[in-house]
Amino acid sequence: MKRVLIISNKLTIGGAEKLLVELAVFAQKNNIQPTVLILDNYQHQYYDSILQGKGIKVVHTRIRPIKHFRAPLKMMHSAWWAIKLKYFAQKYYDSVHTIGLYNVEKVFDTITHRHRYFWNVNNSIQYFNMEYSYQQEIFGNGEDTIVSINKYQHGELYQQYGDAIKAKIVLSKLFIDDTN
Amino acid sequence: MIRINLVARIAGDKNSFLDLVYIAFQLKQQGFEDYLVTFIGAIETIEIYQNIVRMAELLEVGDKIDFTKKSIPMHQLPDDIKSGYFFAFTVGMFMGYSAIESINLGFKTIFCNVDKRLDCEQSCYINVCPNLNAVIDLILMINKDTAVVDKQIAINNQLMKKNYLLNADEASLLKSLMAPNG
Repeated sequence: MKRVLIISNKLTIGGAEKLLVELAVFAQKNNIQPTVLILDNYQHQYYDSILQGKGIKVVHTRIRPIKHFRAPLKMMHSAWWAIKLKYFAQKYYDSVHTIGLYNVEKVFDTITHRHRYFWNVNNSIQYFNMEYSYQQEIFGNGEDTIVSINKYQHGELYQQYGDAIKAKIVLSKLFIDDTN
Repeated sequence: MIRINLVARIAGDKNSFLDLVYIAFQLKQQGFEDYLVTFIGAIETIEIYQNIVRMAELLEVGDKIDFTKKSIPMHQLPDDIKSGYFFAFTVGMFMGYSAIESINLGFKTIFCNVDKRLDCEQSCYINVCPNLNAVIDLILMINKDTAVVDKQIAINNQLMKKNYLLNADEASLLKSLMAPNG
């Protein structure tokens, strides 16, 4: 069975989180086993129960830094995930999807995989001076793919980052599965 | 009474909340006062919340603005809120998940573009507004002829809903992103 890792930083009620849930459910319905990884956030939030109710594995941990001396079990868990994603992600998952470019800086150097997808869930209008706040380095790997969710983001990124963008850019629209 | 609802976390990455205060003010200026604007969502950035409250006070529409102060799944909203009009910000023709969920649940949904650079991108649907003035006109039209406008909004939303179902090609693309060959 194919496997996909989907990464974000929270599962509260919100648009990016809804996208994560739709992607996970879509994967499951298409015989791709999803695992949801929530970074730097140990709270059980709204979509945790919904994902778990659908039998989708949700992991809360952090992969950098992993020091957590007051909670040694959590620290061991973090260490395991840090090693797994740095050295064995390719073995465990067919692709790794990070929801929100604001989360990419957490995974850019810590997850090694040939098929990394970074979902852009914002538009420049949401930022000060209508400029994204991301470091241009996150666009610099030609093996990565930026997934736009609307037709405007492509132009916005190129206007701001220009030739620094080496990653591929694809468009995949927001969707709902109204059979849920 | 016309209820206008906005589903969004009160947070810094969403900077158009004052637009609704402006709408409230303009409606009052034009002699229409039978409405209530409800912000549905957790308050994540207290300064943003305070700015909304302060601006509403300054414009003397504080009694027309309400907050749930917590996020509530849309299908679990009270019936009086569900029966209102759900206001959704768009970027040109792009609609986010609160708008998609709203039309999927059959709520009356009004869209307004927030990116002035994309004013000309709007569709011809009555409830897809290029700017705030168009929203104000629409609300006044709803007040004048509720049944007719509601019917048109319902038809439009059903048409829009189809845009958010994946067709075979789109599903295939998504599958290929999740399980690429090689």
